[in-house]
Amino acid sequence: MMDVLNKAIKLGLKYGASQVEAYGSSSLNRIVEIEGNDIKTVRERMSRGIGIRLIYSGGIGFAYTENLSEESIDYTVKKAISVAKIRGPDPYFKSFPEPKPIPRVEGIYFNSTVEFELDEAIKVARNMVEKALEEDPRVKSVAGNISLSAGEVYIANSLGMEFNYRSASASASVFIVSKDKGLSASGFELKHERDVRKIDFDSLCRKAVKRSIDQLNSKRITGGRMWVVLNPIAVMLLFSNTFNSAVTADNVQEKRSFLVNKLEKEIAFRGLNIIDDPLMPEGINSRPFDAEGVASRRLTVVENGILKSYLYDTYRAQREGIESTGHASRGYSSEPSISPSNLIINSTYEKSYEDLISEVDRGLIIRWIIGAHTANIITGEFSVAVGEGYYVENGEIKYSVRQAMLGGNILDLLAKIVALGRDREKIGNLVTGSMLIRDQVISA
Amino acid sequence: MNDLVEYILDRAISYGASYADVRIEQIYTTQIVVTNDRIERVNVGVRRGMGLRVLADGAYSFVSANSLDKDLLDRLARSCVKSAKLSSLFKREKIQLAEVKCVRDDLVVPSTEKPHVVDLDFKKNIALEVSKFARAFDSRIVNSTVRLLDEYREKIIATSEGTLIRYVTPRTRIFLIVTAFEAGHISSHMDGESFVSGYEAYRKFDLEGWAKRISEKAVKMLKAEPAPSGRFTVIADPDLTGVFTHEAVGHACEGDGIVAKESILTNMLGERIGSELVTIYDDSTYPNGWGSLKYDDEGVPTEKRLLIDEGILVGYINDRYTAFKLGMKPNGGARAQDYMHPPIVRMSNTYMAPGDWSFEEMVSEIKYGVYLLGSRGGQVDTAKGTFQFNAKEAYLIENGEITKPLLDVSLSGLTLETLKSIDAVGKDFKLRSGTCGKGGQGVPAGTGGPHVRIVNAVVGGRR
Repeated sequence: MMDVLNKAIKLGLKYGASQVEAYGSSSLNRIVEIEGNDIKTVRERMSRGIGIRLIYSGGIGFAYTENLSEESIDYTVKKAISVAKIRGPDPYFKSFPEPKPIPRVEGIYFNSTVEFELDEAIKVARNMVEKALEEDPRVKSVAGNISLSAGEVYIANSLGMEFNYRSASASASVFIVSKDKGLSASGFELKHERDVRKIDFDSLCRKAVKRSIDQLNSKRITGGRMWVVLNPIAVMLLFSNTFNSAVTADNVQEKRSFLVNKLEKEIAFRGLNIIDDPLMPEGINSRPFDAEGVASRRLTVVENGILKSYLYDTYRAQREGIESTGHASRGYSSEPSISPSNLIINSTYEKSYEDLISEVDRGLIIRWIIGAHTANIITGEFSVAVGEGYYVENGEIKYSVRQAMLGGNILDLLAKIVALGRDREKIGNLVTGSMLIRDQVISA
Repeated sequence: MNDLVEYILDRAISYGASYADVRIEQIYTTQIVVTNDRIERVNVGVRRGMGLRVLADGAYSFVSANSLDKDLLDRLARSCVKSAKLSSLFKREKIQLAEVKCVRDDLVVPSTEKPHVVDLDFKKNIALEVSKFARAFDSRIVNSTVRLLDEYREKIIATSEGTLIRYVTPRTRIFLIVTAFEAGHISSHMDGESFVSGYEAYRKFDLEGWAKRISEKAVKMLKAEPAPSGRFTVIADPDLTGVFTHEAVGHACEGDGIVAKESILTNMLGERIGSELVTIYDDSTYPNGWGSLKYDDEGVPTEKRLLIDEGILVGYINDRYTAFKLGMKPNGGARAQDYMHPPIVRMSNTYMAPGDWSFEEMVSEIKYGVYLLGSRGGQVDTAKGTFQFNAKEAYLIENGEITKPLLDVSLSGLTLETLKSIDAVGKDFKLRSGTCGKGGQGVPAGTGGPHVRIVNAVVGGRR
């Protein structure tokens, strides 16, 4: 692959580009799908491609291809040049990044994951179905999947950069539907790890079954203003659809963000810290460098409730005359965009999960949210349904909630955090404990 | 290309598959993003690859690759059959498929200005113009972002039973997102238009009027107040009715969820599930519909499927497997996002049929309620039947009149209760385009209907 990239770079320079960058990736995904208490299908996906970005007469051009023949590379380089001509000179672009020493990251590639055999995965999947059905007679339907991915990323540019790294990850999900006395309820669990050995499939199943069963005795509640405990998975769903895109420099520079003009201002309760850590061992988005080859480093995003930094790629950083923070991400078929790596939320006000709940006079524990993707990423407004929620009274969990909605604004919610739970979990690219939040609006 | 298709199917059968289907696709794509007066992004490229699905020993397996190298395809066919056989050892029940007739067809959706041929400069100018129109509307507009997307897709679908279909489809789309700022208030509005055609669609598209309407709404929403929360009578506009129909009813009618006993509509055929005003179709044949298709990705002819007939559940959406399991007829419900994904049961154009109420009649009877328009999307838990949809625009209804604009708000409910709480169905109708996501795959889907009134609906405001 590196040879192909270098060929593309040479061609670009030959055709008159002043700088050329080539990004390539290849991956193999293997997935075993479970549906209706049985193995549904086994899937294997091989994918590779390259994206060529270049500067021609001061303009940026980009084109991609999945066909790596010489002819196709030649066509793609020419296409990128024609795009650069049409775009015209860009006032902000200065240069692709120069190669700099890159750090070591622990735990992003595991043989255990790459060498995990498909027949083993099929066996595990079948086992999960049996386990779930045995666990409780009210379980009617088991679905889910086991997914194993391995890939390699390559980045090269005409300034002498030539970097690559391998990575792997595994995930498992279980979706249980149980029925009792005419009521049905679902329970969902998901685990995503770099090392497949860290996934306890049985316990995942048991937890999903419990969640489903726990919701069979759901009752209606009366809405109103109340305290809310957001479990880590609910925090992840809300954050990834609001904060994660609002904090990127492109949205801030283009005024498409509720975090415009908020740098060095208080945007959350005083005890809240958010760190972006691409070097976190075994982090799902951990990497030695970003999608432009910029070395990874830890970045404090929020400290004591104060917004300390936005996230930048090279282009957006050059626009403000600063260094990229290393947050370019992409696949081969697009130019880089900006997104967080791993976000770690912590607080000076942390309590045990039990203590969090004991502080609630009247409120809801919210574990799963329906419709988080409909949050308004520009304004931070959201109005979502509670997918899995439990009513709390006088510090005690009473019963699961039949139907409720949570409406609000993410900045208002961040300001009203009271404490963070010590029930810290890694969910996707987010590490957080539960959040205790006062004064939220619940409709029912 | 036909030779290659024959080759792959032949290899799969020779390795022991009892059935195989393959899709080879070449997809030309363009994406242009314009922010204010500047081009933020231009991505052009070609995707090309194949997806093979086999049935061996009663188990399915699927492989995909974006290379058409013959040796690789041979290896993949072998490993695909091997995986299916492995999986068969651990399956509780063997897969069987409903019989269908073989189809041979060559379909080209006509376009005079094909997306992959039209000059990039022409496309760029459309995006820049729309952005300019949007900003010219009002000085409080601080950002207009335009996304122009197109694709030209050549697809071959073939099965080991002898079906061979070539299907060529052009698609173009444009989205506009406008952000307005005033005295610390921020608001935004967005909309999109999609065409199953080439750029000839833009010759009669009033870009200026369209952009201004979006800007006007963004500015209007600067004055919006937080919505009330609780139970109210609401009116959903055709867009939101469409999303409700798709999310709450359509998904629950998908054959895979029925076979798996995940759906709330499992074993309910012939039962009353909604008010008699409610009739719902999933119609793959709707003329020029964004989700229309003549054949599905198993090569099965599609149709106009009646799902709910005056409140009675009468149909499901099926692929060949779910049709066999349910003892029904396959009706062309298998769709894949592209060659990288296997076909799964999907909707096409899902809509509620119009009734005979006028909008004015519906509003005039409401003392205090909410009028919800448009949708930024929604989600549903088909097992519990809980749905959520977010409106793009909302207004308070007081004493039979539409009064103040409200901030972002969603509607949530339980499907079976809500279908019975529909007490008025409008005589108007609109179908619009969207993308439906399921199992990690996005496919074009149409959603629509008339204005609809729902009593006792939960509105998730923050007041």
